[in-house]
Amino acid sequence: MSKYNSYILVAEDDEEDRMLLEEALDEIKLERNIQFVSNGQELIDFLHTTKTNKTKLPELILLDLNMPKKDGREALNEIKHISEFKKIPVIVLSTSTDKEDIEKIYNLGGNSFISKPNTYTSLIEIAKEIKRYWLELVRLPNLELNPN
Amino acid sequence: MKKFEENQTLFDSLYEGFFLITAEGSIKWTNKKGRQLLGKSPNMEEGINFFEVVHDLFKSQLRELLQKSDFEYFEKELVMVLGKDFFPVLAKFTKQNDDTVLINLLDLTNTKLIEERLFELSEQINAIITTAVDGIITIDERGTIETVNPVASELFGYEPKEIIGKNIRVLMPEPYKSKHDTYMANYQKTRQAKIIGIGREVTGLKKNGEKFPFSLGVSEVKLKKRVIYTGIIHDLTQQKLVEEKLRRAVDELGRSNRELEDFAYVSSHDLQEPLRKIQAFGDRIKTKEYQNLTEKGRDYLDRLLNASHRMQVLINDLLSFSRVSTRAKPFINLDLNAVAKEVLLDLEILIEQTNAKVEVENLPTIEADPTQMRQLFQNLITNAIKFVEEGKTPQVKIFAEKFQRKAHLDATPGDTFVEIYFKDNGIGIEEKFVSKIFNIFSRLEGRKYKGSGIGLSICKKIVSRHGGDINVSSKPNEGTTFIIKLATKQTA
Repeated sequence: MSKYNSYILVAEDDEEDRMLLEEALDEIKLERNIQFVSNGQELIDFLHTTKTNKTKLPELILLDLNMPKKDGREALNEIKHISEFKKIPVIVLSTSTDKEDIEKIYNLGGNSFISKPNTYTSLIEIAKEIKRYWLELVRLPNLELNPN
Repeated sequence: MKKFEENQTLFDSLYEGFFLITAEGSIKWTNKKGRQLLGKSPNMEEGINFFEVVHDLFKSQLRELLQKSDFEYFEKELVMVLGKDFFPVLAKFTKQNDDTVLINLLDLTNTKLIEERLFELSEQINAIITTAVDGIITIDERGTIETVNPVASELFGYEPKEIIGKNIRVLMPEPYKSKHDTYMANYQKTRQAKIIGIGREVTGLKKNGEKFPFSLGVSEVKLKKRVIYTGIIHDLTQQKLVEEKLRRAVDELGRSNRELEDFAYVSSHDLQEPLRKIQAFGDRIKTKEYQNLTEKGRDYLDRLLNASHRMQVLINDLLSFSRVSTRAKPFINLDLNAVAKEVLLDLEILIEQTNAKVEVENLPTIEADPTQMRQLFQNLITNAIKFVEEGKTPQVKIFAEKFQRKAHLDATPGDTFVEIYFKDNGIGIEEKFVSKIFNIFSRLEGRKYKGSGIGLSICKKIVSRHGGDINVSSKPNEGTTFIIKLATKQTA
């Protein structure tokens, strides 16, 4: 699966949403591996595994908010409290448009809040924007966990 | 007789009438008051018989008494007659050494009048107490029941004679029963009243053991030599029952209302998710598989996407409708002029594009939720500008009238209202739709008419939350006036 040298991490419990997102990211030629986890706990576990194995951190985390076991808010809070992980940009993708939710995400250290689009066409637009901004325009921190 | 004449000045100064008469009744001597009582001039006392001025009823009896040889002194109440006047007297008869009799007459006219007045007064008070619709009980300083009126006796289920003389404690349930003596003692010592002169709701104990709520007003009555306490007892049983019924009804209404709100919010939220999928996968088919479909298949897909788009609009409407309650903010003092100004700024582009003329007259300041007022103004002004015949310049006039509800509720908050008019020159609303435009469900029933979306339902909900009402008067092609009535002060 390691077609590319770097990867983004997507936490999404909904299989269909994962499918649509994968298709969209493929369609816009993201040119990154996509690692899926299906809830907040898996997300945290995955990051800890990379730490233990001293493999590479993801360039971006796309995070759904409403997930079983550990929801996106809790996971975000944990990530931003662990020194090795807190530099990873976290982009929340949620159906919520609740003002309080949005406030909360930024207060917890989320890097952007994007409403899940209703149509595939708008999903493509969003995927393009994410790629252009986060993977082309912005300079990302060092993602190697091996200090050498 | 000589000794009386010698002391004439002294006797004349006395308030009582004195007569000296023979056993036959002829008056030998009298004093000034005596002459007044006889109604005669000072020189005319001679030759008058005392019996002439005694009422017939008493004459024979008096004669008998006076002719008894062995009497020394007696008292008798008599009625004297003077012309047509009668007056009561108390007469004291003292036999003198020379067999004359000294009569000392005390005019009782005034005393009788006072007695009668007192009697009348007490009758009156009694009548008031007996016929009062509230129970009245009086107790002494120790709490001993002295009087009980019929209502009180019926309320507590005791015959008056069963409780008069008993301590007021018998009418109280625990723990008040045990505390009452201490309370009275404390009050008499410190004068710190907890109920006297204040009144409050308390619980009473009936003879049959039942308890009942009543409002008790206690007043202290200072008599000449002692103090009594009067308790006025107003039965609250019915009122409490009604209050409880009302409370339950309000609770139930609130609960079902909340359920409805929750239902609207949750269902629209939860409907969103599968709908998003229908749209997304529909989109996928349209972009990736459209070419593989027959013409019929493409038509079906287009219809499916079209329907899911309409569904999306409805869900969004339902969500914004339920948000009127879920996102409600507290009421503050709000200048509606400022609200109108802000909304007009927000609508600047629309106003410029349509060349609309929006005139706002002086509006009042009321207690309201600022976000909701903005939404209300925005919806109504937008409608007024948007629904105009093509080529016609939209003209909107906003003005207010203040009025007070004329009813028995004069002192209730929410009593004063303002009416704000949003008058336009638009296409108007057909009569048959007028009653339906505010109703969210009639819109959800189907797309029976082209309207302003959920906007007016939201307006109605906002206005209702502000203790008001929304009405419309309209004629097709002549324009529409929306009249919103808002309470100037909010209760909660």
